Amino acid sequence: MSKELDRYGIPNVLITAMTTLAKNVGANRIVAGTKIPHPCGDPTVSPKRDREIGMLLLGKSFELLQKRVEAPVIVQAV
Amino acid sequence: MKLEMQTYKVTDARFGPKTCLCGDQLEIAAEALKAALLEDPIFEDAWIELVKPGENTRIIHVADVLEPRLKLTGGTAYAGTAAPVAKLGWGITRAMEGVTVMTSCQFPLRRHGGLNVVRDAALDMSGPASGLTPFSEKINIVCCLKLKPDLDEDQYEESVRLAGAKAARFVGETMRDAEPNETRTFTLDGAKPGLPNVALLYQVHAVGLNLNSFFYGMPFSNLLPILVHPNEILDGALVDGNWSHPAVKTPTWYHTNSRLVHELYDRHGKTLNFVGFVLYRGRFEEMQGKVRCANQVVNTAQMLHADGAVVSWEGAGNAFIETMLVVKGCEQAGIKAALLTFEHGGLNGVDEPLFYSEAEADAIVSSGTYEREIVLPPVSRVVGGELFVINPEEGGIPLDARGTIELHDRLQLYCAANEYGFTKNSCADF
Repeated sequence: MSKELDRYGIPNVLITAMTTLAKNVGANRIVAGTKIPHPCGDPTVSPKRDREIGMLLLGKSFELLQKRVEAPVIVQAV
Repeated sequence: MKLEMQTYKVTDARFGPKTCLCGDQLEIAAEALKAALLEDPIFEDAWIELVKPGENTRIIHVADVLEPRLKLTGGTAYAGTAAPVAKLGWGITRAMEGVTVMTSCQFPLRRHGGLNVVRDAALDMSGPASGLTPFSEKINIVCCLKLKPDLDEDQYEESVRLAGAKAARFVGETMRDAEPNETRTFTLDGAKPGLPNVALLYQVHAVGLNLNSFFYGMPFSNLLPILVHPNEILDGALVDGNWSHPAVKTPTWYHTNSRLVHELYDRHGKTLNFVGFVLYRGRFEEMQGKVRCANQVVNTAQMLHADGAVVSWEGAGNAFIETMLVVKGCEQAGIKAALLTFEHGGLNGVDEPLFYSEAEADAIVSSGTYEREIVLPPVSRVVGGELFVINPEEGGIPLDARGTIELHDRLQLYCAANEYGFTKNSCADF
């Protein structure tokens, strides 16, 4: 999906814990999520901390979305 | 460490007043085996069925398959599984060829969805799906187990797993006074200088409840790679507890009869030196865990002075990332790695063949695919229950197990992915 969006000129960020997989299949803006079953948070910590992680990931994603990238970029957010 | 494996060929089996082996004929006292299984209070009921090669029979709710075993010296067969832990892989073991012990149990569908949901599994003895496992050519002693309601899932999992080992020992006991047909000694002695050193890097699925492998009874879920003697695996140290992914699972029988181990032993001291067996799990939930695990596998192979490695895996999906990282790491460390895997390819075989790949993986043996439609024809006998439940992710759709069953893929056919090369599935260039 990320690749197809790029093809149509729609910038997008893929949040995933499987970062090398995302890179290998051709995603260009990648933010490393927490874990495969829950990339956008962490249900094992307190709800407050879970939300902070989610906000951090989103923040990093919006930053990356605005950047021009020449090659695939992986950003470690947490 | 030397393991003497004495094999007994059994060509027919029947129920009788006592459990014994007369030549190549096995007699089973079904009531005594049932009573032994019902010692576990988790089971409300149990019944034993005999299923023979060529029968027009479908076995459903299949959990594990084990080989009847007896150890004369060197501990107990499947030590650590409903028996005290003992050092396996040495002494004399007796194995019954031509017969399996199979557990069949319908688990309650408490969760809808989730990766570890228990999935029903079918095994056809004849028809188009019969070639998917070697078990359609065996005499199967099916232990049908009925669970008491309202108990915890982990109790169910453990009891079904232990029941398989208990039944395998119960039947194996008949070999105590019999004369073996064949004896083979397994030892890593006899390595020759100048031959390439080859390690077997063996990845299992061990993630959590209903999707686990057990090493001497211990769940492998949190373990980093360990070096084990291949004889321990042949002797039953590794027991299956995967009731969730029937197509891509490894029944205990596959571990204890591992063709990869046998083939490496066949070549040991002749064309290569078999230097060790690295046991590890895949499907860590984040990249750091996957990289950490793969690095330790490669480190171990390097410490074994491996020149080459045979890499196998169990499961599907992201578990393959560890496998590929191991292949990549080996190649980067100068260890030639050959990988055995099934392919995806989708319904028509034109989709991506692998979930994940690295450029360094340049020697891959394909064992076919499970992503093909299949129609199971009606059968005259069903063992294990009456209803075959598909699509547990959608709450479960019960089908008449006796009738025609049309499947879009083979996810619920027992061992359909053929991850260890046990079936007639393969691939062809065209």
